[in-house]
Amino acid sequence: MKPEKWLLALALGALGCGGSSYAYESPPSPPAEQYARGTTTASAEYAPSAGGEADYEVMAAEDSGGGFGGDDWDSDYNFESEGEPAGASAGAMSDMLEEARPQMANNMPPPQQQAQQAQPEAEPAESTDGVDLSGPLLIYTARFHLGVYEVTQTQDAILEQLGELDVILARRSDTELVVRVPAARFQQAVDQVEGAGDVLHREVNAQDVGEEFRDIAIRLRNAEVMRERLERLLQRADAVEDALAIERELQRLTDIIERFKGRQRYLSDQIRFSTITIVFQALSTEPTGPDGFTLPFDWLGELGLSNLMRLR
Amino acid sequence: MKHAVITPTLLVLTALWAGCGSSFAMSAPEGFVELDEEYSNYDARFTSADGVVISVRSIEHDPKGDLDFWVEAIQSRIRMNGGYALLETEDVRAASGQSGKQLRFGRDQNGTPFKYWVTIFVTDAHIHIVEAGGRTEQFDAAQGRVENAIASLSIH
Repeated sequence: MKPEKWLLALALGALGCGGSSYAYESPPSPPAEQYARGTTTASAEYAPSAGGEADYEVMAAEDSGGGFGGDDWDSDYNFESEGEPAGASAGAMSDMLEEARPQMANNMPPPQQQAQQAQPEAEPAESTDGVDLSGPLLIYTARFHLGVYEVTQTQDAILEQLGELDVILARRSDTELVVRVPAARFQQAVDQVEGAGDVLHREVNAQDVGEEFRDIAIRLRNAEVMRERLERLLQRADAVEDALAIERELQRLTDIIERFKGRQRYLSDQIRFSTITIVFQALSTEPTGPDGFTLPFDWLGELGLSNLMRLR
Repeated sequence: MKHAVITPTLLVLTALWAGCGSSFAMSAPEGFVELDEEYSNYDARFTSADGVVISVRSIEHDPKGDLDFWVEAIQSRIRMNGGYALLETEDVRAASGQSGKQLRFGRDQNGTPFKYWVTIFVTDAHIHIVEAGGRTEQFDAAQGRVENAIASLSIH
């Protein structure tokens, strides 16, 4: 097998998600061994067959769905060649790429399975995009419904109190106030909002995104390493067809990298800054209470300013 | 039911309603006028010229519940369904000696803040509800007179 084809196969193997496999019936050279290139691990298993030939399978080492990924990324390349001809055609790599592409979307394992298959060679760095990866990665959010009284003054008071906690005003309207607060001060901010008015309803959530975040970090790093390899491969490509095929892969890979970076930035922002939403609106204008029951006393429904002050 | 409204100047008994056996008397706040409630669900209602309103109604106490039950029922209804903010809760006493509870709410309507008080007295036969409300600015100006009127409530 030509070295370029090996390199490309390994690169695609590491790119593929969820047990991407490459089966070669011809004995590889070198035979069974483990490949570790850069920060990406591609494990190789070699099993000689009865006919003296060998099935050679290269599996992507790091992969997990983790809630992020697309058809372009979740792929399963499966090549079965008749052996490596001494003089492979100039378009061999292009053919491989084109044959592989339609299979990418159809052979994606479910996210859970992908997660189980994930075998990262190395843990991500201690800190990624300003997020400390050593502990749990949680996105905190809180939502409050406050009684609707002197909303403007109450909003002003809340913002003034929260100003001491370095909050960022994200949105303000007649009925809603959304602030972002550094995660370390989330509880303080929640306590202050609790005391700012009549809290009719509260909802506090902590969403663990550690698995997704770390998964993206690994896959991003793998993709960047693969891109470097493809760039090197491109420099050595002699045929125009090969160069075009590699460039297409480079473009696809670049898109994937940008998506990973975007998602990583979003998660980092959500982790570092908690979101608190304060709603000034009646929970329900229906006769049925929010708990799903209505007391059988009609006169309760007649209470309120609208009836009291309707003097005609 | 029977009720008597005692004006600050005349202290006369107004209409006595027969039927459910409840009677109460309350001094009309100074500067308020009593409205004709013949066809409404209120037993008595008073308004100021600038829109502060006080009403009284007696409801047959069936099924029976203690003061806490009715306070909770009213509070839940007003806060959760009406979107009112509970600002304060006060223990009150009627002129006739019964203990009651006063829930003081606030609510914005079309950007204007309003205050709304609900005072509850529970006797064996009746639940007496005194409501008072108006725009915050006017209500605050009339608050002393409203409090005096509520304190003058005599339940028989």
